[in-house]
Amino acid sequence: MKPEYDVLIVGSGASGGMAAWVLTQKGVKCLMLDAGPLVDFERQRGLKHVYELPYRGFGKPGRFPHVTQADEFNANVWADEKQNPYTYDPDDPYYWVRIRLVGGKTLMWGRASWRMSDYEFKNKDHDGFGDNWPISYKDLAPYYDRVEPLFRVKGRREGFPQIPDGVYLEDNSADSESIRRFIASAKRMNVPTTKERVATGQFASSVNLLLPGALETGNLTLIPHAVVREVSTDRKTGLANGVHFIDRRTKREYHARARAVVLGASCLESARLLLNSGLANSSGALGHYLFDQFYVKNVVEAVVPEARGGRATRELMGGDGYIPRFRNLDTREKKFLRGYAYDFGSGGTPHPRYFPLYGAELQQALADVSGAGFGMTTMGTVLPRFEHLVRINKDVKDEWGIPVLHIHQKYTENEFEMAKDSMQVAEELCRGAGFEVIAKHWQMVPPGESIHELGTCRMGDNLKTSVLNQFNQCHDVKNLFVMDGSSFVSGGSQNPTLTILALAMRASEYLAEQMRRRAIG
Amino acid sequence: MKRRRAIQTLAGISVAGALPLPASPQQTSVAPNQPTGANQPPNETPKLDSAVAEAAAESVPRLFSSAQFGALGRLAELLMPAAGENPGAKEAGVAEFLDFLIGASPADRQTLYREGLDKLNVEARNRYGKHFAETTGTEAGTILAPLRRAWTDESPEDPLARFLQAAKQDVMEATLNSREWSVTRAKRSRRAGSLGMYWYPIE
Repeated sequence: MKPEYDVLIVGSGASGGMAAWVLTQKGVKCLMLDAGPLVDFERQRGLKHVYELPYRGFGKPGRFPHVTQADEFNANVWADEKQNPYTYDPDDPYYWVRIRLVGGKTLMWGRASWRMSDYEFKNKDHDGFGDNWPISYKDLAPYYDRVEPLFRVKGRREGFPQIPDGVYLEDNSADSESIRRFIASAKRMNVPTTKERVATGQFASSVNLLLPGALETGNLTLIPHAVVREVSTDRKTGLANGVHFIDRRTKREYHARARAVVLGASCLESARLLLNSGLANSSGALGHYLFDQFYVKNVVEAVVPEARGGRATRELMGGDGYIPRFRNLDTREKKFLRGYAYDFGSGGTPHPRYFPLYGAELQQALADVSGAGFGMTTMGTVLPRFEHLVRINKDVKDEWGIPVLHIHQKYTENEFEMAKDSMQVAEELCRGAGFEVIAKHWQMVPPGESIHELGTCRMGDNLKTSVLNQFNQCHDVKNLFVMDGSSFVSGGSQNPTLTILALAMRASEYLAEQMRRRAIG
Repeated sequence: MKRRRAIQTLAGISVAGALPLPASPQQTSVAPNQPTGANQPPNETPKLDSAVAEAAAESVPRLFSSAQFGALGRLAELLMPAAGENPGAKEAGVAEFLDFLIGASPADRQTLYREGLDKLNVEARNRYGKHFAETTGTEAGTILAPLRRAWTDESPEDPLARFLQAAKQDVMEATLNSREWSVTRAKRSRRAGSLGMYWYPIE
């Protein structure tokens, strides 16, 4: 008989990694399964010239129709879409971007680390739409306080209630003149700005910040290549007692046993696993309330006139910053609920597509604006709606014979109006700074492309409308926890990874305590 | 990196012919005029330099007809001409590369290119009685007028405009990512701008 572990963790990214980090340090014996291989960063990465690549950097055509982030350098990182298919209605395409490697998407994340606030946790109290979370900001703040130093988050404390301050490596870097002008323009419009808040270090992943510490305790067993098919349960108690998984390479079937199971397989994979297991859905809410953040990439593209003609000096150009949500805080917009944030950046050369030229004239125009560009990207709140969902499509199976997801999400009038507003404000901000706006638009990327998918296993106090309680514990199966982004009740304009880490830390400490008291296991 | 390139090189030829043989007694005494590689320690795998095929051989077009290929070559030259020391699309073999890339692409992209190139030839014949490949810059300029329309986020309805926008992007990228461009830039700057972190296939 193989050992029975205390906790079996599915997934090794932000939430799975954090669960392992917390639980193993409390003496809990954990088994971690990940669907992908373990990367050897010395052997499996290396510098190459783009012209050495078979497709000159374009990548193999048609390999990743839904992963716009894939290029020929990093193509082998992303989950293969043929091995891992999914379906959607042709009129409502969904871009599901996945990484199946130990470490998950923390291998490639943008590192933006913003706290959420009670504008999100208590959003129904604020504007009447949707549902509140079963927790408030003060419940999660102590965990944010511990996650930020762990991920070496750099930032500047500002006192903005919509993005509460944290425990940062203080960012006192000076701004370039173009950034200072933009900040002054924002001030005149009562729009807040701050430095970016980002995890630092050469690498900021579960692979280097969470898993090594967990393994050092001797309490973690990590198994790569383990594609989990189903959570198994005890017939008498209905409690989870392990998982069935398949070796990715050989397709050999296994069953692993544990006293509790934690899902951190990523938002949609965890929902898929529960749906395929026929578990945790007495509410009928499982799979529903799918949302993400919408992005309008390069909502405005501008040029700093003084930097034209080779005058883009370091004093004038360079640097970046962030505008937190400023809509619907103390006032009420007529056309939309909630709000959006911007990333902005100075420097670089605007894309050739913005110039109605070609040939030598285009090259001359690009040389003139070399290093003189100023760009902004919108990140907007998406409203969670019951009708946006995932379900199992039994007609399509993946490489391992597991039924796939059918995904249905589309943006609605609230998001469209927000995107339009963000374009207008961005243009005013740039013009106010004396920049030339050369292009503007409000075309959102398709749902999913932001890689910030959330919801489908949401938490709540009401057993009839939610899947998990406030500690990410399934209402229906007390020793089954879902700790990734699927637990979100709503989102904001803030990137979600920091909140996923804090929630997973909180839930894991709760689980460890329940096991110590023998309330679980 | 050199080790990796050596492994890739070896992968294409027979193992027996590629791997270093154990040194025989005769090999241990090195003749004065032997290449330095003969000094390779017997238990180390050699680090061999290799070249890309484009550096040594002509690419054979397979997708486009000769009329289409001629139009593509002329279009590429117009979109990205050589400037000073910088090579243009012609020097970077962009038409040959795009024939390969588009040939490996999904059907809708192949159709966009084929119909776009045919349209260039039809316009050139109707307006000037010649193939697009033979047009002067001024003549071609009237046909490429859609490229002078202001940018919008909407994809153009006109198929020729859609094709020209795609070709403008592809020709520029294929030129800037070419070996010829990289070599020329390297002469002027010590920064290796074309280098990137490549992830090898992982099991």
